[in-house]
Amino acid sequence: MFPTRRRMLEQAGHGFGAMALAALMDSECGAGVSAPHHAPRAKRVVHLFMAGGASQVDLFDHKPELIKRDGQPSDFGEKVEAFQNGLGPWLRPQWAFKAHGQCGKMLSETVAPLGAVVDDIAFIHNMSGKTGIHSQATYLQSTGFQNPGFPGMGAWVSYGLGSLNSNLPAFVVMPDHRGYASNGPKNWDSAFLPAQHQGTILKPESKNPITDLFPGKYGDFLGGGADAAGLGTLSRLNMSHAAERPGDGRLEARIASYELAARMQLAAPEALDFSRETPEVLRLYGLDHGRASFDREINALEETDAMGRKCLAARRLLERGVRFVQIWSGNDNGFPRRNWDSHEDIRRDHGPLALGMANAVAALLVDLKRTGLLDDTIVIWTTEFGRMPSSQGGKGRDHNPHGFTTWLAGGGIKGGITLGPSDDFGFRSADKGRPTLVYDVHATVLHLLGINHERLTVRSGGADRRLTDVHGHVIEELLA
Amino acid sequence: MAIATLAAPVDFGREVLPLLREHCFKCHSHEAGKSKGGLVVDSPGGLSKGGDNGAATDSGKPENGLLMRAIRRQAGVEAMPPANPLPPRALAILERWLMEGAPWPKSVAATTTAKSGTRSGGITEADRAWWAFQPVKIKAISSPSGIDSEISKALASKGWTRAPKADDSEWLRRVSFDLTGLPPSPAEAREFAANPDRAAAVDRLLSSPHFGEKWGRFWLDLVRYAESDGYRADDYRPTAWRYRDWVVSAFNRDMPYDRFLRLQIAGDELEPDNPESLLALGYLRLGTYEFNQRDAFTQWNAILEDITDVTADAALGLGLACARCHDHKYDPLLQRDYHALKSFFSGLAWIDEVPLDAAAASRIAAWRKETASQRENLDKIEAAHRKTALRDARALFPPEIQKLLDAPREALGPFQKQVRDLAYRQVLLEYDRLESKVKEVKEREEIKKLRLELKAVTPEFATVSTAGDIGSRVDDPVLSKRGKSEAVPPGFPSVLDGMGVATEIRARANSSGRRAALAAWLTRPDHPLVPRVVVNRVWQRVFGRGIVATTSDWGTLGEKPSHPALLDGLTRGFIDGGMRIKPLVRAMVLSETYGQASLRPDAREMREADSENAFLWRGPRRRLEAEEVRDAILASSGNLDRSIGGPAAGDDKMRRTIYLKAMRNTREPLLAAFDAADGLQSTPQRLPTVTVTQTLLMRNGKLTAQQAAEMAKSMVKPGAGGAVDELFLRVLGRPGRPEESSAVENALAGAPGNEARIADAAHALMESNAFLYLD
Repeated sequence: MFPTRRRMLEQAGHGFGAMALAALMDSECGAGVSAPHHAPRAKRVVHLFMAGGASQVDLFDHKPELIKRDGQPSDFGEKVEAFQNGLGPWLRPQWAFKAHGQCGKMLSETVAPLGAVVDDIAFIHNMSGKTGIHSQATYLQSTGFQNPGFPGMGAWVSYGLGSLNSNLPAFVVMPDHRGYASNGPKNWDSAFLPAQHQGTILKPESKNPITDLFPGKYGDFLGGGADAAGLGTLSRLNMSHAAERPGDGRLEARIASYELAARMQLAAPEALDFSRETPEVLRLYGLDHGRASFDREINALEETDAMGRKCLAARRLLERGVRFVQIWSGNDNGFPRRNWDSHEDIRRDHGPLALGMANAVAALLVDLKRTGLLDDTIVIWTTEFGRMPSSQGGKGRDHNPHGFTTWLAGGGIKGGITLGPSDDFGFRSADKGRPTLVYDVHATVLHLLGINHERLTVRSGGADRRLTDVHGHVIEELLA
Repeated sequence: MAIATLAAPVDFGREVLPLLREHCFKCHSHEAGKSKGGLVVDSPGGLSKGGDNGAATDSGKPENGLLMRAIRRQAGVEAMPPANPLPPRALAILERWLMEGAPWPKSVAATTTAKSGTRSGGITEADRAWWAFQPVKIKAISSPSGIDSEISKALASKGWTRAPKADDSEWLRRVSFDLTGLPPSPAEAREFAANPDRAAAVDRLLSSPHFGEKWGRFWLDLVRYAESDGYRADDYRPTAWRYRDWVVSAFNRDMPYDRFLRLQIAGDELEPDNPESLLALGYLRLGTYEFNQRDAFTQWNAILEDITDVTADAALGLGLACARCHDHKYDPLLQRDYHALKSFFSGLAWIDEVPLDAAAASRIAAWRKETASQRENLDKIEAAHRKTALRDARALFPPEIQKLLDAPREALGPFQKQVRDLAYRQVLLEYDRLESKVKEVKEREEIKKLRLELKAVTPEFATVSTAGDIGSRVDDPVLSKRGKSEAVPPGFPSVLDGMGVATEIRARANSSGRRAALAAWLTRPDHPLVPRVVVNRVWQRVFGRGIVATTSDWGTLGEKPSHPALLDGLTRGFIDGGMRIKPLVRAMVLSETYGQASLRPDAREMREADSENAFLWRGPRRRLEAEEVRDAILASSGNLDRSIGGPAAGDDKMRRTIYLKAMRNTREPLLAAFDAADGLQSTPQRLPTVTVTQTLLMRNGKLTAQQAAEMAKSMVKPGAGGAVDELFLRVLGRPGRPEESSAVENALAGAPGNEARIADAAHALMESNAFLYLD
């Protein structure tokens, strides 16, 4: 099957010469799935991850019963384990809900900007995880396994499909600029897949947006022209070395990697150059505020700016053929909170985070639609778990691994629909025995990309591993 | 490329069976309970018996077989699958398989006709007959010439020959890296050029203390060594490095492999008076740990299962993880086997901060005495707050675990104690955090102050975190399956039941003796797997490819040995010689097979037919490993700190890379880029990739630029001539070839002794393929 062939190519040490080169360059036709398992509906993915645990009942999952019972002692009808004493009285959604779009989807006012694109979105309100532990739950959503050591979803997609543009990495990650989420870079690691499939961190706000893309201060002594001279010497050394060793694809691939690096030095800054965008587009993403600094308290303007930059960068990267863009909102647990882990105060933290996210993500969807990219780009919005419909300390909410919301939009997704549903309080799937699991979401996304999730496997540790472990069903209702 | 893959026979288990399952089983299998048209296609018997229209395959004329014609949708037969034709790729694979005569390995046959999740009939005779489970019966091979004659035999069978001898400088660079992970120093290179005595060079390298640093690393990869918890907090483990040092030292001392294994698995039970046991048992402490997990039952089971998996991977070369949840689909490993193996570890207890030796113990005792009143005072103030902390921590656990925390520890059963102790770590963590949690400012400040005072008089004691058992009596793990629960006592994999059963378990005062029994079984000299597996790993390290290429996958999905007699001969020699690694390595690297040139530009036929060099028609060529890349750069600039062992260092220190802090979540960028093991799963072989990330790091990163600059500085001294030769000797450990030298001369031309020019040339050399690849 193709992974075997792929692996041979990638080890590239076995005299495949030109083929090794192709594996490195990884153009569309030279990718891991020699032919897709079936006709794809989408080519690209944007994965939006709200780190810390975004509240379903305050954003997307409208629960009148919760409003009615606000302040009454919570009763789940079953034994519930809280993570941090979060079984206080029922707590109503912290914002009013209003119907949006032709589909009439009820959205909280703190995500109201998404109302403009809600007819493109398919909501899943009966997502369920396995644990209320940040690290494990984050791994589960990002890699399909609760424990470390497995490739991120983007790494699998890169492995399976390769890149559409050899001048940029196939899998790009934009972490929250304030820090990593739980597990740090392990969420987008390549694990047992070849290293080129790991997510490349990209910092749109930095002069050196990819690590070592340009020489650091330690390279300064090289001074004008010396870099070119050094490269000239290197090229002579490598050429004569390779000539003596015909048929060793690794050596040719390394020579080619310098050309690729040089092209990336041009391509990455170009992809991040917002000055080429029109004022209308900058306004769309909320980047026209003209401010250089923000208030100390968490605020929607700053959140919109931060998320807007990442989303606009994402659109520019997708346009240029990046296969998988992952955007993180929220750093790891810390104070003051800059993540979705609102144990203390939903209004204070979820408010600006959600509004900033909604402004930016709505802009992204509008923009993708405007440019036609949405037709074959899947956008997934998710988090590691939801939050309790009961209160913690009056204003906050505890972790809820039993129920949360994920939504999808774009290539091959039926918009304007809601699946699930969750129970009356948004605590867990209404059909308790049949929640939607991350495996199903992963299977569906791979399906839309033309991959049968059961057949994209790699042997590791004596087992044929796949993104969906031994689970996963394509969610047919989601398909357009 | 296409030729290389297509020429190999179809891999039934991985290629064919999944297709049959996906496209045919729904209507034609025992699994589905359907046999439309009287046909099942889930066994060779089913195919030859056929359905209502006769046999499905035709052994004489495969293209006339009914199944072939059906999937090709030819006229006169019912097209299959009925609705949609097979995708082209699936069709091609099934066609090839049918043309090959539809081979169906016996080992797979038993699994497909059973209900999913169980192997009907358990282990069959065919399973037991698998080559890797047979005893090693052959005459010992322990000399270089013994190796050469086996390799030559195989080459001759193809009409091939060995490559000419590698030139001396190439060979010295190769063997220096392979044995110590370092390039030869300019002095060593010069000396060897004057007196190219290969045996003497090998003996020098084998007795170098850097041998253990290179070869210890291969074991650390296998046991997923790292120094932090992983998961969210990724806390550093301050004494984990002591296990790393022990491994390095064990390789340097050439500890017999059986004792090496025994100390790690059961040092406390087998050599309780040996202080080394405490260090070796660090093996049982290497797993990841999530400090915030409230479901301590599940967590503890996962910890035991992780150790079971790693032990099976590293020592047995069998991927057992599949059998955790169900009988293995292809290999003769039952789910019960998995839990029986796990049962050997079921007594496990973590023991922290144990004094390394009597001296450390007495220092601690003296400190206790001296600080008694100080500590008493602190305890008094903390007591009330600890109560609150305990209450708060306890409240976060599910009721079953709260019960364990409430009960007197001695009243709990062994498993309950283990779970309680695991959960109690979270209570202890709260005690540690008191100084930031206590609400009353005055008391909080007082606690802070007293703790600081105590810390000021507390030296770093020589302690280690180690492992033992919870007691002499332990609980068997429980296997729940289809509503039935069963306690599983220790036992060895059924397919190896000729190797004895686990009845000889003798409890000690404080431990169950289970791990000792497992260690004894694993290190039996007649074990069919353990010695073969390690000999093959050593071969893989030396020659780049195992005799069994899938070095941790010896089941039916793994590859068969390319040179079975050689593998068994070497294994016999290894066992007879007392399971020592160094003599084995010595024989390999002194063989002519190892000593041949890796350059063989004329060998077109061999290259095309055997691109992987499995037949060893030329010398090995590999990329330097991540550690070697960094160490060699530092060595060439003269900045490498060659001291051995000790606490882990930050990357600003010029220590060898094996001594850098090994954090799980945030790895050194160079290690991550150059495919180092990640400390999360057992890594039998690294997968060397070529990536742009590597290239950017080498071209624009700090390490190469800084070291090239410092190297240039040290070279520009009055009267120091011969910069070009010096550069090659320092960076590559060999003189430049004429073409290479002229490239560098060219770069320096017109400005001899110009520091920036030399730095540029050194930089180029450090990222060249001649540096990164070992001929």
